Amino acid sequence: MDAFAAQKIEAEVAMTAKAQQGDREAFTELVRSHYTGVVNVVYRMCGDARLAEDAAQETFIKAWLNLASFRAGTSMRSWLYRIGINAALDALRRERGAGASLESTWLADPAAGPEAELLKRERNAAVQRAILSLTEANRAILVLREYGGLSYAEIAATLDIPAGTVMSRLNYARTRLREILAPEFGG
Amino acid sequence: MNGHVLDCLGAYLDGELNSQRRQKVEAHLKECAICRSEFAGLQQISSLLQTAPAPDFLPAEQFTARLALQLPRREFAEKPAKRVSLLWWLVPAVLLFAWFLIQTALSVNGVITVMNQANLVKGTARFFSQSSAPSLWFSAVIDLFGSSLDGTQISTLMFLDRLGALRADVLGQFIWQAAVALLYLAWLAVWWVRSGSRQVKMNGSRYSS
Repeated sequence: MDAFAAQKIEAEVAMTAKAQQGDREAFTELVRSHYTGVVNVVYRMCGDARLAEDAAQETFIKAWLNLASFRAGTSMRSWLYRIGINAALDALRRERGAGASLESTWLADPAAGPEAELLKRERNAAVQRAILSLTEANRAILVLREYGGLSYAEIAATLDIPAGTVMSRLNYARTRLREILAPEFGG
Repeated sequence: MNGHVLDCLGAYLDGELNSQRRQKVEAHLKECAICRSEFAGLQQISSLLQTAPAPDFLPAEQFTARLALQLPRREFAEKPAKRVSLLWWLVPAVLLFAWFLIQTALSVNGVITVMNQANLVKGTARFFSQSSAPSLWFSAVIDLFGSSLDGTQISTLMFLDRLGALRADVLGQFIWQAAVALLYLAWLAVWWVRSGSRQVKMNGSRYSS
């Protein structure tokens, strides 16, 4: 681990300790540094931008309320991802229960032409459909690896499963995605 | 050619293999077209996933500002919890202290008994029993039949009297210690259940496999 990474971890540990004492500013700082990771993981789990933002908000509120149960020495990122995955799945179930159709809301990129924008949307929609076709357990592992950037050991600890299961489920999920996406994108 | 390494290709792609296995996979990939093609497919799918564009979410600053307004107050809920928590952790400390007190009392009791029997101290009260004094049944038998009993019979009666006193002593000591041990075990069981449920609450497997 390089000195910069070690310094960053040290700062996060200090920030977490302050937040656990009720320091809202410290918690806001933690939110700022983990927001992008959490919202990406949550989005890939539920496949809808609006739901993802709501679930990300729910994730951080739950984290704030349960900060006392966060164990020092463990990874804040993994802990937040775990809460985020549950929040995303809950949001998805609620939305499906309400019979709403899931359609991502996009802000059009003004620099891209209408055709490029359409291609971009189609590509993302196909990837997202393929990810959502996986079981929740396999999806969680794939998302934590591909979008959360967690190692197998971190995924195993986050989801409380053996490392061997992470490897086999990830293999299965990738094979399944290849089968679904290869006809559209080759490979 | 060696056997295929298809099962390891994902871990190889993710940099999760140790150096020995990594070298083995690399050597195999140089020779095996099937595994090479499979690996290329895995690389392609991983790249497709990672480059799939995501929607434009709220910028971090805006999200954080919005969240800050919605964060509930936490301080009020925490104070009583802390008090309960302190009382909760006092329970085993009190039990251990009680255990220590009982052990000390039993030891002192034993010393006083020995000293009483050796006539070193007289009339000192014992803590857990009065077994140094002869029991009622023994005194009654001696009063009624003492003159007609020989030495062996009296010794047998004394032995039975001592045995009864010893049983009462041991039972008394056992009940005290067992009560404290049971309370401690009950506390441990509750602690285990509570910590388990807290764990499930935050880390429990809510996604279905």
